Amino acid sequence: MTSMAWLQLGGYLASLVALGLPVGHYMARVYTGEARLAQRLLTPVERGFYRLLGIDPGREMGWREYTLTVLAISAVSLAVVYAIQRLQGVLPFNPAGFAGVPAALAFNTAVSFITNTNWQSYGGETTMSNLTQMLALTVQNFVSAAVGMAVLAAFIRGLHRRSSATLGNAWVDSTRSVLYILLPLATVLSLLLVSQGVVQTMAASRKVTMVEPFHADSAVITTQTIAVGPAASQVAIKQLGTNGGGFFNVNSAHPLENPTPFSNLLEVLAILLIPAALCFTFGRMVKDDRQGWAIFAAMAIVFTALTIPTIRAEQGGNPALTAVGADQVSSALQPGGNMEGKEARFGPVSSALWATATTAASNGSVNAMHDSFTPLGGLWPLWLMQLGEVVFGGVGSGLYGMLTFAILAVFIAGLMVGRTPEYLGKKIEAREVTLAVLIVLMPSALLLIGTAISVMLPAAKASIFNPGAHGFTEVLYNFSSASNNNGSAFGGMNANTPFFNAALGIAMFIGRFWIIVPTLAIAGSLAGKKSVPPGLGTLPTHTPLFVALLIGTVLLVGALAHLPGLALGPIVEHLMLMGH
Amino acid sequence: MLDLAMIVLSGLLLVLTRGLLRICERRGGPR
Repeated sequence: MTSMAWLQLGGYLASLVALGLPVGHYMARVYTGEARLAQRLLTPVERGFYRLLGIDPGREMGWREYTLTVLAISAVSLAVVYAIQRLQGVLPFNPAGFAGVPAALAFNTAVSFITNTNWQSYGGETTMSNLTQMLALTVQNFVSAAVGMAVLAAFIRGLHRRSSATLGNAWVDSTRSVLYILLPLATVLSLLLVSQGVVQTMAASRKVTMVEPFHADSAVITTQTIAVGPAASQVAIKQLGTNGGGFFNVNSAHPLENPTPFSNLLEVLAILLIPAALCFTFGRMVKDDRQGWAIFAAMAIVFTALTIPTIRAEQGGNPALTAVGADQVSSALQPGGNMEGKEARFGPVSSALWATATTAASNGSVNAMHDSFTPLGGLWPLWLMQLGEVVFGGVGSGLYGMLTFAILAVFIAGLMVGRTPEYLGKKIEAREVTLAVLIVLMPSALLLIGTAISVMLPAAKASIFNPGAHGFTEVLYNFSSASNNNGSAFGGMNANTPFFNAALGIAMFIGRFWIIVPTLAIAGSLAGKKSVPPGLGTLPTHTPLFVALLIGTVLLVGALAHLPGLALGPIVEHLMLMGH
Repeated sequence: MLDLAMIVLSGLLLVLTRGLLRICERRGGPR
């Protein structure tokens, strides 16, 4: 790694802590109803919304009602997003005159956006009207993120409350997530992005004179039509809400989504800002900041440990090209490294850092094409997803996933020392462990079964254009992305087929809601328990020992579940490349 | 026709999720 790469990684992590701490503490005040200044400004809007929907914000919900409310919000969202896409041809704000989105693609996209995945089997600028982009997709960027954050708030309350039958109010938590956290942050980021040149307009396209005329046969082409639209507002929330769905097909590799090094820095910071900050929110809400720091440390260590080899692999370049004399060394004249599928503006370091940030978080936006990464450069982002999107992860979902791993870690430690495991004073018993195992294994089972079916089914195999190990990695990556609600793709295969639209849609749905249900069940179970004072046999959960134990649990489960699959895909491909 | 298939598929997923909720109530939730 070059010194510039180290500097970039170090600066990135330092910025994340510096921004994450105040944002995290603010979010804790939001969820505990103590964000007084914001409440003074926004309470009228909030109350108006509750009155409109007939919601009593003071009513506390048990875990079952909380879960049903979250599911109801998502079910209505699913129907609305599906309908808007199907009907966009006859709806307004369709300057390019796009027809309704085909049914299977509309289902896939609707599930994708309500599950905070933002997997895109379509190219935005050639498929979706402005109305669909704004009213269906961007709205869901907020709503799906808010659902994840609400579930986390309920989970933390479950850990903190004693002998309580309730976890809060799902309407209040999700409304405040949008109104007090996501909207203000997205507004600021949108304006900053517009200042960098990200487009924000209701027009469909702009005709421009080309710098150099283009000669095609006998014709001389001097103008080009460039698709534009309300991109900045979608880009801001796609990053902050760990959604990831781009306005344009090539996402943040597009110069109108990510024009400058500063916009690139802003966007890559926004990817991990809220997931990282929520660790500090957690510490504040359980009245022990050290607990939040411990979870943050575990996430940051795994993130850093997997980012370094990704950068190294991409900076190292392609050995097959080195063998034929290509110069891939970084110098003042060229970024060096593996530049296939990358923007010359960003080079291998910024692309690799983005790739690990976007797969560590369940974001999925890209500024380079992951399918063109070296086998090892693609392996680490793939594994980050397969770890269950708990290394920062999605907004809310990442932390409740990691806290589930923490419950498993104290259970394993309890088995080793023969004591009843406890986490934050709550006894962890068989029912919590059963549900935690379900949560941890569900996405892995989904992605492995989906991949296995796809590499055997002729209808699915027809979509794979790369033979051998790389084609297998594409399928494995895409199911890993869908099952863990990431949304990025190894785009070399055609996923816009009825089979993949349906199969990946099912994977996204189960990967989201079959995690939320048991997560809230654990929260309900823990909330009802008494708090046990720490004794001699209690394992402290804020120490480096616990951080190591937590990391070990995450990596061990991830390795046991996924090493065989990775061996058949990127590892074989790497060995083939080395032996070339 | 395909619309109907997608609606049935969505409904099925929601019903199965509701089933999981019931299982969690019996096995996992507070007694």
